[in-house]
Amino acid sequence: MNIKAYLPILVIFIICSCTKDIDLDLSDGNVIVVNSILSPDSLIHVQISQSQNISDSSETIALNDADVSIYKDTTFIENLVSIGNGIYESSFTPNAEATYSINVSSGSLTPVTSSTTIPAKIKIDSITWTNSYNYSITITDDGSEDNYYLLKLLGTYIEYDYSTRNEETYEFTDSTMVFTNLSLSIDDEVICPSDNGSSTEQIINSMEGIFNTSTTYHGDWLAFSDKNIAGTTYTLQININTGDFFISEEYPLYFIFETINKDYYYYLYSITYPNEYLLDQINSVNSVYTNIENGAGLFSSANISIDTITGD
Amino acid sequence: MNRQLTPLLLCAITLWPFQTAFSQDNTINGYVVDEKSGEYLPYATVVLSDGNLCTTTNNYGYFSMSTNSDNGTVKVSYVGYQPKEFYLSQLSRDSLITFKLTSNNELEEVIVQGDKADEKTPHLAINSVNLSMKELDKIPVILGEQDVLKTLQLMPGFTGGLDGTSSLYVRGGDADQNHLLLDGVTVYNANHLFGIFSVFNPDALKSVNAMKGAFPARYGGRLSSVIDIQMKEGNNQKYKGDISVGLLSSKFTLEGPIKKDKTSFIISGRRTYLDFFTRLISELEELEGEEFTSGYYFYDLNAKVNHKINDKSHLFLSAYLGYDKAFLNCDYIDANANYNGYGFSQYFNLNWGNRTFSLRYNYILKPNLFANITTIYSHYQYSHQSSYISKSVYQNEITTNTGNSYTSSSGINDLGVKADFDLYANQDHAIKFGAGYINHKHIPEICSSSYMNFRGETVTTTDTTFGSQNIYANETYLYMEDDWSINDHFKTNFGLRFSSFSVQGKNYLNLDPRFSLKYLVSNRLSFEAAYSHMYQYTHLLSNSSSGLPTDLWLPSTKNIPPSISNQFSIGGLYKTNAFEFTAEAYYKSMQNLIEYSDQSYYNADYDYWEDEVEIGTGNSYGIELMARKNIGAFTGWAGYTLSWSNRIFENINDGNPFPATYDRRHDLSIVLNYKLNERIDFGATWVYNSGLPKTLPVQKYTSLDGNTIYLYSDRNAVRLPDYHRLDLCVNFRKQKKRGERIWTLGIYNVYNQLNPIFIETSEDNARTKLTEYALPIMPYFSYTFRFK
Repeated sequence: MNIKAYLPILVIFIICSCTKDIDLDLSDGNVIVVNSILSPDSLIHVQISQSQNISDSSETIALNDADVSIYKDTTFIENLVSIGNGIYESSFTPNAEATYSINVSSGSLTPVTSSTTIPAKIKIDSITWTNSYNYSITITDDGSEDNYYLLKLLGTYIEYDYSTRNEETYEFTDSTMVFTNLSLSIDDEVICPSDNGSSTEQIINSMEGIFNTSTTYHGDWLAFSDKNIAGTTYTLQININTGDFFISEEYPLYFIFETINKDYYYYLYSITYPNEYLLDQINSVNSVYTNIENGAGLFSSANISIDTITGD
Repeated sequence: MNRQLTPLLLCAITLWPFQTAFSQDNTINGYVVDEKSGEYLPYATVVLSDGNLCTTTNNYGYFSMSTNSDNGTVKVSYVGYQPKEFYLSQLSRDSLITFKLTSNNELEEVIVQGDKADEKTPHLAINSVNLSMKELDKIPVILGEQDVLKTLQLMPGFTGGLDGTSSLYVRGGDADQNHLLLDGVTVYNANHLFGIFSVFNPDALKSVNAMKGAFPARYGGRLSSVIDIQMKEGNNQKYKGDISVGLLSSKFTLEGPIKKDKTSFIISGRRTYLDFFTRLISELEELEGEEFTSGYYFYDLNAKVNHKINDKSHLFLSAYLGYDKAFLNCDYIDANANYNGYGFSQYFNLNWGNRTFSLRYNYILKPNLFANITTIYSHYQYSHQSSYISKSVYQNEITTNTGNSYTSSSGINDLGVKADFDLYANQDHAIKFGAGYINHKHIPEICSSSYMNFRGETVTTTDTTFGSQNIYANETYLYMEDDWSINDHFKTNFGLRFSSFSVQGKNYLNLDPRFSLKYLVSNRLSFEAAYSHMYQYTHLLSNSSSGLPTDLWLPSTKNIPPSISNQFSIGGLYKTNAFEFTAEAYYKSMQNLIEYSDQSYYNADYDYWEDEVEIGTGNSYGIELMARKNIGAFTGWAGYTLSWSNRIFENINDGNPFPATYDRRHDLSIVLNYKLNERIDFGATWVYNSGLPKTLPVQKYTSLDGNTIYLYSDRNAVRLPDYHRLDLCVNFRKQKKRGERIWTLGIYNVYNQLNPIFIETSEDNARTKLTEYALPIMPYFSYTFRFK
């Protein structure tokens, strides 16, 4: 939201208010932080760290001496092994549609637990395009349960060096090839009924899909629930907003379509819309979602389907 | 409620007044009015000289008393007026008596119930506050804008919200638990300028009666307080007017007779000029290629016409119109020398306002039976529109690319009729009974958005997140109360209020018992105990704690039951000729309170507001002390409240109790006025509160994406620093040929104590810091001229 929209209100505060840094005694018990997204395609990697008081340095305190045990359903599988920087690794890859639990303890910190069920993979039926910026992705949703999806596009584009721009002709003299997330938008009245991502207010009010217009231009993704397409075969209309990207055998366009756990979806929502309305920031609290009992972070899962377009 | 019990109770309510109405003595009845303006004086005291009989006028200045005596005197007194005595033998028993009192401006002012301590008084200043409009002039307030609600904040049991605002929290209740009545009509949003002003223009008001407990049965619909505000009727003797110019607003009042002694009017309005300043700032900050305007203003208008049809009947028509608007328009084009470039147009508009109307008919059916029939209309609405259109410029031709627009609105309409009767049954019983019906139309929130898609098509949708369906509800009530003088020492007010709220096919039937017992040890010392059971059918769903217009008024529904409170209070009053001391204790429990659920924030699947709220309970308790000096050059009061207010919601704060948003442990207010002479008087206010509870970040960690994430404390678990503030003002008065001129100079927050309005969290050199925004020292002035 453009801050100018609330200028009249801001003016009142500017005229009337002063600011002062305050020092409150906010010390509280540190907690174990667990971050991990399980996927059937890879070994389990869990990052274990410790929260800090807000007056401390922002550096993460990695915990390398934690006991990290993994259970499948209620059966103990193994203790994960520390590979440094607070990261712990399994010796196995998890299975789709299985439930995994984690117990973590470290020193005097309160032990934490969490669990996640890895979702089934989404079936991408087809991907078609009308031009290099507009694509149709057809998927079949499993109607027997609530599903949540995360879509990313990876491709190669030309990044111009703006310092070399000619202000008269708008031409650049220097550029580089970059392989990264492409900025996308969705023009779909079912997934995001009221908006295509251009107004955060509309998305907040639609509550139908999360479209991340992140602070970096090339970092977009779309997360949505199957609420309006449950059990159907549905064709999603996608637009690529990144200019001057390539599609060819050498530079394929990757469609990363993940079925994600509900916890992951809630987490994405909470980090995307921490403080949408300026007025609501006054005295309001928007904490990031966590599913770690007695701790913080996210222990969730995803199942990834990948398809490509090469321009043929 | 027991269904078999309900009809019996209704019969009891209906027959009650007639059981006591037929043992009548001789009756003295009439009005108490201002001698110069003809204004009816509510809550004036009328005492028979033998001291055994006393009463007060009702909201419309009417009284009635029964007596066997033919001799003696009737003494009539009223706040700020010279008491007068009338001999009974001179009074005609057969006709209506009008007691005319003279304003006491030239003498020492008596600003509350001003009877001498040794005289009998019918009112105990426990559980309620009667504000005199004359008090407001003497109290320093932010930006010099006198305000009824801000003055109430200085009384024990009443506390304010954000610094500088007029929001009100009574005995641990929430902001929506106050029933604000303007001439009998509910006012839903009492805020102008996001709470800096209240909608009640003191120049148009006659009396304010604020109750925080021991609610008589005639009042209902809110859990925590009733603030019954009466507008002036207008001078029926001669034309009068006031003009006032302040820092932020100017106002005028004009009143006078349309036909002397028969018909009068009053009209009072005000408008801010903040928009002139913001327009100027906007223009100064304009970039090249930018056209930018923004601003904020509000206006309101109070009007009333009063017509005396005959001695027995009066007609009153009153209206209030208020409107706030914040706006912004911006057009920006950035084109190069070849006329190529880009631009955008942006529009923002947020407006809200109340409209209330009441048509009231007073009729004296019998000398001891007074009837008041009122039709009411109340409307509150806010709406918000914004749009953004991006443009491109090619060879000086502007093309619209993409854009979006968004509108939302929410509101409530009430239309109703009510009949209230005052039956002065005999010397011991003063009975009030009545009934009412209100049709509520709630518009929870309608959001509409449109955008230009990538095919250049405009798509418009209506969102149903908060329910685009209007909700209609019918509220009816029936009440009966009796002011019973049991003997010289014991008096009681007891009553029942039966109400029904019909919504979405569900009918809520409720019975509110009310009871208070007063024990007059002597004319100086008295005690009171009270119990009130209250229902509330309308809720304010707020996602902020600052009383924003975007908060939604929502009804009880088939899934959201009415809120309920039970309040017990006990207190005592001791008064001398100059001083008055009160001490009160209370306990209040509340059920079916609503709050946004924590889960609603994450769960994108919710379609309807009912899915996003949690239903919980609350309780509050505390003691209130007050010492007040009413006469002399020095007047004022000191009020202290020690209180606790907690909430419990199953799915908030892990089901653990947490402090209410405005839970203040200690609340101390000292108000002093000093009248140096007829031309100069001073006012000073010092306020001290315990720090408010807040939910603040206490820990942090790094997320999956490498971002810093805050972990928050338990709900409202952190206390902000204590709040304190000193305000001063001085009034310079001068009598001129055509009236009185008043210059008011004042300073808000004299020693520049920075009390937090809100807290911002930010990162500074890898450390997290908390920054508070606060109102600094603010001098102000205003000029008022009151025409004779």
